Parts: sequence; structure tokens; C-alpha cells
Amino acid sequence: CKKQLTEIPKSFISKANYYKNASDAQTAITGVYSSLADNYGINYWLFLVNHSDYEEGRGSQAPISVFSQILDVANIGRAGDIWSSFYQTINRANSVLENVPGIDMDETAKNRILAEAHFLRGMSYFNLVRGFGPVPLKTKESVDISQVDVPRSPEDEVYKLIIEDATAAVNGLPESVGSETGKASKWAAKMLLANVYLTREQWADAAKEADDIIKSGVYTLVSVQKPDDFYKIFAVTTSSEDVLSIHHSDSRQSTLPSYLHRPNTPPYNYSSGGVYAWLPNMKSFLATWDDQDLRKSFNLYTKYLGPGGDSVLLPSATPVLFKKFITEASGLATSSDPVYRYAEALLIFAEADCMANGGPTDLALERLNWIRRRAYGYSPLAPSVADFKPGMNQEQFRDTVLKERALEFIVEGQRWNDLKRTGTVKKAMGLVGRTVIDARLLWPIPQEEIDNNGALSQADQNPGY
Amino acid sequence: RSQQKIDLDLKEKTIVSVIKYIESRYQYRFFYNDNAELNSRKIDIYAKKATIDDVMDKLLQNSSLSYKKMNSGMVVIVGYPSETVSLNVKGVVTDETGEPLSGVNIVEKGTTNGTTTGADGSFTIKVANDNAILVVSIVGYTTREISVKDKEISNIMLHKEENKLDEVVVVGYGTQRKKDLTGSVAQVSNKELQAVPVYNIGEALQGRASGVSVAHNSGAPGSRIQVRVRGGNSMIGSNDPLYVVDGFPIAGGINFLNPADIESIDILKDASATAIYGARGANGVVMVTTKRGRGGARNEIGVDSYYGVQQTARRFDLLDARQYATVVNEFLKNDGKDPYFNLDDIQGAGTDWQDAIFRNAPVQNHTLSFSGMNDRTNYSMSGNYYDQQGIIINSGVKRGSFRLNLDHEIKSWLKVAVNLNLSRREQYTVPVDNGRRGNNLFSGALSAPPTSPVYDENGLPVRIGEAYPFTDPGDMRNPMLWAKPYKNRTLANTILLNNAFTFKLTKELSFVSRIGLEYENSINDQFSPIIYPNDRGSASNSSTYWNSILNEEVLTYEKLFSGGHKLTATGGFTYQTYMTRNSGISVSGFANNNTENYNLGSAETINPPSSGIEQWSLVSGLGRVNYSFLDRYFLTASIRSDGSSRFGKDNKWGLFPSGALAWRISEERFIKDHLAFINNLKLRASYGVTGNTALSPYQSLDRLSPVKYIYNGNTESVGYAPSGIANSQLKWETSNELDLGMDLGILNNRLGFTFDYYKKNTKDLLASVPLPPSSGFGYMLRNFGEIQNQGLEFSLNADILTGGFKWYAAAQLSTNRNKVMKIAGGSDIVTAGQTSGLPGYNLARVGQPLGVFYGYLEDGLDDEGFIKFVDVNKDGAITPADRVILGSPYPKYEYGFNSNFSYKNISLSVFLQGVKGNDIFFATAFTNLNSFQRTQNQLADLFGNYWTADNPDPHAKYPRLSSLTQMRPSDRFIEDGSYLRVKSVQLSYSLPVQKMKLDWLNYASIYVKATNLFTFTKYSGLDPEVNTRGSDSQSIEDRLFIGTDESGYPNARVFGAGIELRF
Repeated sequence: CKKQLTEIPKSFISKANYYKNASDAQTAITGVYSSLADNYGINYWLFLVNHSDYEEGRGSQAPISVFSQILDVANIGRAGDIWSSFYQTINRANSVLENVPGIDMDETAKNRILAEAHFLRGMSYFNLVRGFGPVPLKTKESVDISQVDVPRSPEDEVYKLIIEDATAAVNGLPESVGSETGKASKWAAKMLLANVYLTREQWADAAKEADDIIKSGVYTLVSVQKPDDFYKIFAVTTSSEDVLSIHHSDSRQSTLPSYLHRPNTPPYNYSSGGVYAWLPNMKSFLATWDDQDLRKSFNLYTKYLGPGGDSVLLPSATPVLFKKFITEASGLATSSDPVYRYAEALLIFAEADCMANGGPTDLALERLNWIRRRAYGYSPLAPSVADFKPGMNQEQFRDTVLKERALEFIVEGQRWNDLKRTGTVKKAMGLVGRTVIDARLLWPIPQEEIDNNGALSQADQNPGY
Repeated sequence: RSQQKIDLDLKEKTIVSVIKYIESRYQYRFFYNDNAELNSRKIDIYAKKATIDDVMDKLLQNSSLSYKKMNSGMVVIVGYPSETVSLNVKGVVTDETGEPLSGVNIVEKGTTNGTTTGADGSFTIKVANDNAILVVSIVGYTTREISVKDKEISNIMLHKEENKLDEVVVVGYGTQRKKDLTGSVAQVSNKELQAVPVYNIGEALQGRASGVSVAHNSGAPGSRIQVRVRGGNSMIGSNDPLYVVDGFPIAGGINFLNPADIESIDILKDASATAIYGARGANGVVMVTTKRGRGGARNEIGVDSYYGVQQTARRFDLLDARQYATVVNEFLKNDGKDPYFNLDDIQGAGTDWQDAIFRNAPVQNHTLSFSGMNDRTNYSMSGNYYDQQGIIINSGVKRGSFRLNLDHEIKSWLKVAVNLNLSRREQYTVPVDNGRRGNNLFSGALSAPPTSPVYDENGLPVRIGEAYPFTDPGDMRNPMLWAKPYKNRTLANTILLNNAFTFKLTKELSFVSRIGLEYENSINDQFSPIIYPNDRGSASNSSTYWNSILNEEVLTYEKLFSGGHKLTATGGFTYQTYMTRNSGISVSGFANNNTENYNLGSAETINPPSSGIEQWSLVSGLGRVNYSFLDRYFLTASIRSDGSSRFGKDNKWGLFPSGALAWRISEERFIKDHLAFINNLKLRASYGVTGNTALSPYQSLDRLSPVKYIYNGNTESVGYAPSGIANSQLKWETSNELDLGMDLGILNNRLGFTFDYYKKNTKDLLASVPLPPSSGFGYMLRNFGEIQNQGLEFSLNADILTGGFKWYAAAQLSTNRNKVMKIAGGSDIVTAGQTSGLPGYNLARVGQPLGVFYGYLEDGLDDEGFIKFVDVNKDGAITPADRVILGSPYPKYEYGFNSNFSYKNISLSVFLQGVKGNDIFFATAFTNLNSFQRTQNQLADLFGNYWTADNPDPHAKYPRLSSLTQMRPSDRFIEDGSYLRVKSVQLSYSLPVQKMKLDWLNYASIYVKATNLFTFTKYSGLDPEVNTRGSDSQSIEDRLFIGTDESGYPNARVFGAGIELRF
């Protein structure tokens, strides 16, 4: 009887038979990466985009862009999904960090896998702490019910772990991932670290990490002569300025194009699934965007191709839409969604260097101008008429960099965190006529966390929820 | 039979009581006239293995009486010498079908004068004069007394005896006489099962047996039927009863069976009846017995044919074009935009989108059957075709089935019984239930603007989401997108083959060896066509194969001991395995619609295929003892030990005992002597332990599931990620159930009454205990929690009129109280919300019924016309802590009432069914009565009842028409779900075939029938019998979703007619 009653799974793996060899270690870290793709799936992205001053959500996302009240129930749910998704990555990374060291395998490969796990865990905590404030700090894989009650740790402690993780990642990750784009390199880890330092206002550290990336010579800005040349960054799998991006395939497509476009508005979207959830807010700086900036006509559109191939104006209700991410002619959305671009290293350097030195250095201005020149269709390295001129003070220069970040990373989800770390949320939103209540500065912790985590009570919920 | 030996040891008894004693224990029948000697003369009598002659000689010695033995164990006691014979009477005795009966005793009343009928049923008897009365009797038929002057004397028809107490019920691993039962068992006859034309027999049980609650989750043809015996015990495991078809515990669903093939259904309700099924007994056991060959030596052919037309009983009253336009303009005004419609341009009511999706649809059901027997073999064979199209376009179900039951006596000690069922089912479904806005066919139709036509000038469905600047392509879709060639079809083939060999080892000992196979393969075809120029189209094929193999070896010992002791003991061993495999592939990107889903290779994008396998096995030993004394005192004890592969390695085996006592008080002297109108009065008490395997395989293991990540270009790489926390302690859910019952039959059993009280505590509930998301997991499976179900069951049946005008009525009423006693984690569980919809509103909380409605209380509208909610905890903010219990999805009681009138050849049966006291969460309103939040069309009730700036009524029924209006799960959506339904009315006429000289026909009947004729309810949805979220999911959040109506597929009203022929 005993034999009849013993279960032998055939279509999945039982943990007792896993973490035995190099292949298991490799598939385990792939499992963590898989979760990274989930994190940067649509919920986190749409949350960040809808928190921008230059954008307004539509449909169920509309309440996110109304800052005078707390999130509605549907979007409280989305915040919960974001939370769960990052913790899933953290748990998977913890599993790798606990189980892979014991595997007998090539040490270099092992160290790289462990560094990748540190990177993914650190990045998840960085995103969590920016969104939710203090969060439970979990550094062990959940294997038993007794481990689930964990209190919220102060932000400083969370950042301490993030910096440790990112540093371990910098030390263990390879300088080049070769053809394995989509995996983290040392430079991706430095991007994480630079962002962390920038957020923590450790200006010199941030500038140094960004400078390392710039000086590595691994990356160059994609050259642009006309607006459509930007597709070489956003309609491709990888490019010379791709530090880390979420890749896609025919069966695992990007959802971004469908969030940007109306259905059936060729040539930007060839599928019928468009929901145009993100509407440009023309009360914002978008209205005064210089026509000479090629990014403007690349990113905003007012017309599409009608059935007869003629140009048709967008309906009056949505006269302008964003278009950074498009679907291939085949109708597939297989291009990559950027996580870290080389352009960001340049702008982090410019800002951090200026802040560290009390004002813009020539190098900071020059690197800012690389971005500016490329945007106007000039060679990044040669001075041009579009250049920002020297002579700005610290504040003016920082504002210029932040504005440049807004334009460069439009609908890439950077704006909210930029406004938050610079303490300018209310000011920026005020400029577009929005009132922001304090409760909107942090996202609500999911109720399931409070209900089922014995170390939390309702009092641990973020204010307003 | 006449060889039966008699044991007797009685003292100081009258002759009559000795005779009655013998009648009650042995297959002898006595006939006698009232005679003082019979009643007054007291005697002592002892006999051991005596023949009837010995006994009669002893009994009547020293009396003036004598006796005469007849056929079939008839004994006539004679007090007077027979009179002079002067009249010769001839006749034929037949059964109801006209079949001649041989061996029938014909006795002239008050005499020893008698004879028996020959093989052709004929008899000749000489009687004294034309005042003589003949007593016509044979075992199994009602005895008749007929005057020789009666016209009928030449052709006497005997009716099958319907002695209800001698009816046999099917219990686990055996049968029992109804009067010997100690447990609670409800029986539903074939006649009742046939009253409503159904696809799934579960549906036919509705309102038929107290304690058995049946509900459609949806009116879609072929959709799931929820059957609950005495409430639901499990939170995430199955709450469906175990179905046992002719001894085979079914592993899949029951809808492969043709209801017309079923002889009877016995529902085992209490633990003493179900504990013999151990780990699968906790939800009750439904014993299905299919028809077997029987009757006389004749072969019979039967034809049953039914055709009906289904229609909607009710439709929603929606805004018409002008009202919609008015509402749109008000909405735009409230949101600070210009009006869109010029109301003067809107003429007429506009498009009725419900007309576009609803239709009158035919349903038909035809069965052809053959049955018969000879001395060693009997057979029953049938073919069935059932075809029901849905009242919503592109939905429907068909079934073709074949059944063969063959019994053959190979040797005097060996019988074989073969049951074979073949069934093929085809089901077309469209998304109807649980629609929100434009995401399905029905909610799409309810949401569509009446100002837009269905099709544009090119014949394409109008893109209603883009038709107006205020509509939303994501939210609004034309329901015709799901019209043909859209396809979601499931095609399934099922085989049930079941062989039982019965060995008669000795007179007392028999052995049954059963080998069975249940097998099913099914294919699901899906195709989403290219409709608009830029569509890609998508398709998928998936197939599932499963089988279950059963082996049972059961030994039964049955013996009557002297002194009135009777013992039946059963013991055995069973082994059942199950294996299922599935595979599927989905693709997208077609050049055209021509090949649908039949050439997946022609698509541009081929998604990764899926496949899987699952297995379980169950090893069991079982035993049961039934003991009775003097037909008065009964005792049953049973035990089963089950070992299941599905459970944690530390808890593979479970033990399930039960015991029951019954006392037939009506056999006691004080009732017999003083309360003679009581024919049967039995008190029952039982207690037992049953289990629920509840769980899918492999859940106790820690699992890593494959996931994918893309790097190195567009290459997908496989990784593994932890997908669950292991639990080696996982085990059965265990139910402890007490049952107290009473059966009463009075006035010659014309009035029958059964009452039961039960209390069932289920502990070690399998719970997917929610984990904080920071653990990286959503849930973990644990045995944690306790639920209690207790209830009362009443059933009453009465032959109110038995003369020429007959009236039979039966009524059932049951009530069940469900209460959560203990819950995993100790804290409330609320169903999860969905990103695009309402947050969850069903609650599991200790002390409350499982899944009560939970949400906010509304407090009118504020100055802006938005809904105000009650700040229950007075903390100054509306937070989840302000939620309260709003209602319960469970009825306070459920009832069924069946009435059957007949007069001569005409009969009328009416079947009513209903529930009282439950609430429904009318979630359809979240899309279609939401004050136009997202511009979906609204129910007409909105019009004139919403808040406006000109008339800012804080008590307006509906808030401001605005995209900023927010609704929460609140008392707004809770409605009373009580209903009384005229489920079926049937008028039938059976043709007087003999009068019409249709000799080839035994029986012919035609009928007209109306199903779901009227429903009396206050509920504002289409159909109060609804539970659109009902599912078999093992997620508590899905399972708690009880009592929701979200664009539910309504049950159809059906008018039909049929014929029944036997020849």
C-alpha cells in the first residue's frame, strides 16, 4: 500500500530534488529574473506614469492622477499587486542566496548567480521603499509559516540592505553580459547604486557610480538625425545605450504599446487592443516643448493613418497621444522596455556632480549637453547651437537637469520618483492645477499584509488608508 | 419459497398472532375469515426448521379449523365445510401491462375452494352462487376481491404492490429494505427525475429531497449544477456529493448520464449511511441505479420523445435611446464638458441590444429503449439524443448516449452484471456570466449604447467603444464579437464500464467482485475570428484525457437466527486510481478565418504548448454489521479505513467509524393494540465520522514551478521558482455528524412523514491560509478551521384521494444553518477584489455563516451628489474598518411541493420549488446601475432617480452621473433572493390502448409540459436562482464568492410536448 500512496510528481519539480547542480542554480536565478519581468509588467509602470505631472490617466487609471483624494479601491488593489510582485522577487532571490552557495559548481558562475540575486533583491527593495516607505525586511526564504510575521523596518535600515546588495552585485557581476542582454551586468548594478545614492543625496557617491559607467566605454548614445531615429532605442531588443531592459518575445509581449495608443491607429499600433490609458497633460510643460527638439514629434502625435492610408486627426477628446513604444508591423510588441538607459547615467552624473560641487562643473554641463545635442539631432560630442550655456547656478542647473530628465524619460516612469526625491511633488502638480494631499505621497500597504502579518496592525498602514 | 423452514417459540399466543408472526418473518401469506377461535384460543407453539405443514398441523390441532396450501406460499384457513358448487366462473389474470400472470391464487371468499392460474393467466373455478366473491392474490401484487357478477371477472388486472415499507433502497455496498433503515436516506424515483427535462440529473433533484439543495449557477446549457447535501462543509475542497453509479464511485461529473436511464436515486445523508464511503462520505453520497431488465417474459420497446421551445422569462428594462442621450449630456455637464447629443435628433427607442442576443431556442430529448428477460438473463438497453440550444446566441449543448445493462446467471452460484455507458457531449459556450462592461457578450449587450446600431453599413459590428468621444474601447465592446464564427466548444466522450461478479458461496455467504473503468477524453476548441481589418485572430486546442479504475472485493454474510435475530455483515477491500493528462496549444495571427482552429500551424505566433499530468490512488478496507431483532430493534455499525496518496506523508491513513440505532415502535404491542392507524413509526439515531479528500494531488509537497525569462535577444529561457510552502501534515477534513430522525406512516401508509435533525461539525478544514504577501506567497494549504452545519428536514407525502379521482402530494422543507467555528489565522477572510471591478464582499468570520456579504452602509448623498458612507467606527474616515455584515447568501429554508392529480386517463402534475430568506449581491448593477460612471447603458430605473445639480436631493436613489462617482460594495447591491417557482406543470393523457384496439401497444401517453412557468420574487435581476461566481476552485477567495449575480445567464422558460410509448 505504501508504494501506492506515495506521490511522485511528474510535471513539476519537488524541492527535495532541486538545488543539486549548476543547471539548477542557473534555472533558479532565471526564476528570479522572471519575476523582474513581472515587476516591470504593467502595474508598476502605469502607477509611475500616472503619477506624472505631464500625464493624466484615463478610465480606471484616472483616479491615480487625481491627487486631491486617496486612491480608489481599484488602484489600491494595483498598489497591492505591486507590493506582492516585488516581494515575490525578494523571496525567490532569498531562495537563491540560501540554497545556491551549497551547490558544488564552478565558483565564477556561482558568484555571478549570487550577485544577480543580490542585484534583484536590492532593486526590489529600492522600488518598494520609494513607493511604500518603511517595509518589512525579509532576507530569508519563506519555508515555514513561523517566518511570516515581520515588522516594517525604518527606511534607513532598508537602504542599508539595498546598498549592501547593490555593492555585492557590483562586485560579483561581469562587466559584459555578451549576447545575454536582459541580464544584469556590473554597470546595471552601478546604475542601481547611483540611483540609490542620488535618492539618498549622497551626491559624490552618485556621481562616482555614474562616472564609472560613463568612463567604462561600454555604452554610447544612439545617434539621431530625425525623430524616427529614436525607434533605434525603443523599437528594438537592445541598443548601444541599453544597460538593462525587459525583453519580450512573440508569446510574451510588451503591454506598453497598447497603453499608449488608441486601437486601430496605424502606424503606431497595429493591433486592435489599444486602450490609450495615458493622456498627455497639455497644461504641463509639454505645451511649451520646443518644436526643434526631435523628441517632441517622436513622443507626441496628433494624427494617425486612416483606412485609406490618409492622415486622420485624433478625435477631439484625445487630440494628442504619446507614442514612445510601438508595435511591430506584424502586430507583435516584442521590443524591450527600458529599466536603465545610458542616458540616465549621464543625467545622474550631471545632477549629482553639480550638487556635490555646489554648482555645475564643465563636465556636468558637457554631459547634460550630450543628451541635449542628441535630442536636437546633433552629434552628442560636438558643441552645437542647441547647447545649454554655462553660467547657471546650482539650482538653475539642477532644474534644467530635472526638466531634461522629464523630457528624455517621458512615459518611462522616472518623473514621480524625481519629484519625490527633490521634494517638488506639490509644486510641480500645482503648476498643472492639481492639489496633492499628503496621503498620496506613499502608496497603501495591501490589507492582506496587515491582516496576515502578525507583526503589523492597522496602525502600520500608511496615512490616509 | 414454499420450502422455507420455520422457527417458532411462542407461548400464550392467539392463532392470529402466530400467523402474523409467521407472515412478518417468512414468505407465507394467510387468508382467513374472522372467527372467534382464531382470536381467542391461546396456544404454545415450538418449531425448529419445521415445514409449513408441520407448523399448521400443530397450530390448528384441537381446533375446528383446517387449512389448505396454495401456490406461492398462500395458506387458507378454513372454518366451515365448503358449500355446494353451482356456478362455473372463467377468467384471465393479467398485470398492468396486460401481461398474463401465472400461479395466481383464486379463492372463493370464506371457503377453501380455490385454484391457481395457468401459464396463460387463465383460471376456471366453480363457486356456490353468483353472490360469491373471489379473492385474487399473488405475492408482489395487491390482492383484490371481485364479485363474480363484476364485468371485470373475465379479465382481472392486478396492480403491482406498492408497499412502501418493502421498497428497497440502495446503500453503500448493498441494499436494504426501507423499513430496516437506521440512517437517513432520501429516495427520488424515475418519475420525479423525469418531471423536468434536464441535461444533468443533479438538476432533477431540485426540490425533491429534503436536505438536498440544488442550484444552477447559471442558466447556460450544460453549465455546472451545484448539489449540496446538508450544506457545504468544506471551504476549498469539493462540497459536491459522491456519485455512485451502479456501485462505481464516479471520478468525473455526472452529466454523461441520460436521466431517462435512471431507475432511482437514493441520497445517503447522515454519517451512518455515508461512513461506509469514508474519506469521500462527508458531502453525502448519491447512489444512482440505472434501469435493468425486468417484468414478465416479454420484451418491451419504449419510445420517449420530447420537444420544447425555450424563451426568456424576463428581460432587463434598459434606458432607451432618448433617455441614454439625456443621461450622456447630464454626465458630460457634470464632468465640465459640452453636451454631445441634441435630444431633438433622437427619435424612437433606439437599438434593443437584448433582442440581438436573446432568441427562442429549441430543446429536444429522445430516448429509445429495449428491455426484457428470460429465466437466466435480463437486459436493458437504450439510446438517447438530447439537444438544447441556448436562449443566448452561439450557446448550446448536445448529448448522444448509449447504455447496456446485462445480467446473466452463468451458474446457479455465479451471476454477472455488466453495465456499459457510452456518452458523447458537445457544448458551445459564450462568455455570459460574470461580465463587466464590455468584457463579455451579455454585459456587452447590457452596456451598449441604444443610440448605436448593432452593425455598420459594411455589415461589421459597430465599434461602440469608439462610436462616441465619451465611450471607451477598453470598456465597451459590441456583443456580436462573440457571435459565430467565434467558437468555444467542448467535445467529450465518456465510457463507464462496470462488471460485477456475484458468487453465491453458501446460502448465507455471497461474494461480489467488481472491476470498473471510467474513461473520458475531451477536446476544447476555441476560435476568436478576425472581424476588423487589423485583427489577428486567435485559436486554441486543448485536450484532456482521464481514467479511473476501480476494483472492489466485498463479502456479505446474511443470516436469520431463530428467535427473530437477523444479521447482515459486509466486509471488503477496494482500490481506486485516477490519472489525468492534458495538453494544449494556442496561437494567434491568422491571414483569414477559413481554417478556424483546425490548422494552428497556419498562424504567425505559436505560443508555448502546455501539458500536465495528475494521479491519485485510494486504498480502502471496509466493514459493516446490520443487526435486527424482531423487526423492532435495529443496529448498524460500520467502519472504513482509507489511505489516500493526496495527503501529507505524515497523514496518509484515516479511519471513519459510524453507528446507528433504530426502534420501530409501531411493532410494539401498545401501538398495535391501541393506535392501529399507525402503520409505521420508527425512531432513528446515528453518529459517525466521515471525511473529505478535498484536495488536488501534490498539494502537500513543496513545489517549484517552471517560469520564463527572456534574455539573449528574444530567447525564452526556463527557470524554476518556488510556488508553495510544503505541508507534510496535510490530511482529510473530518466531519462528525449526529442525526436524529423519525419516520411515520399512518392510515394504511397513505400519509407518510419523515423528520430529521442533524448537526455536523467539520474540522481540520483544508484552508489555503492567506499569507502576508511579503512572504512571497499568497497562500499556504493547512488543515485549519471548523465549520458547523445543522438543520431540520421535513418531508411529507400523502395519497389524499385514492378513488377514481386520485391526488397524490408530496412536500419537502429543509433548513440548514451554516456557521464558521474556527478559521485559519483567526482573522476574517474577505474575497479578493479585482483590478477592474468591485473589491471583495464575501466574508468568512467566526460565528457567521461562511461567505456572508460584507461591505459599507450608505448614508445618502453629499452636496456634490456623491455617495456618503457610514463611518461605523467613527474615526473620521471611510476605511475598510467601516465594513459591516450586510446579509447572507443562504436561504433560511428551501422547499419543494409536488402535486399529482389523475382522473381516468388524464393526469396533471404541478411542481413548485423555492427558497426563502437569502440575499443576492446584484453585481450586475455595478456596471449597469452605477450612475453612468463609465458611460455604459444603465437599467431604466436610473432615469429620473439620479441626483442633479438643479435638484440636489441627498436622498436621490442614484448619485451624481459622473466619472468621479465611486461605488463600494454596499447595502445598495443587496437584494432579497427569496423566490417561489412554478418549476413544472405537466398535463398528460394516456391513451386507452385496449379500447382503441391497438393490441401492439402496451401503453401510450402524450403530454404537454411547461417548465419554469412563473417565478414569484422581489429580486430585480433576471433570475433569482443564480450564483455566477460558483466554482470548484481551490482558492478560498473564489469559493467564498457566494450569491453573486453578475450578468448571470437566466434560466429559460420552456413550453414543450412529448410522447411516451411502450410496446
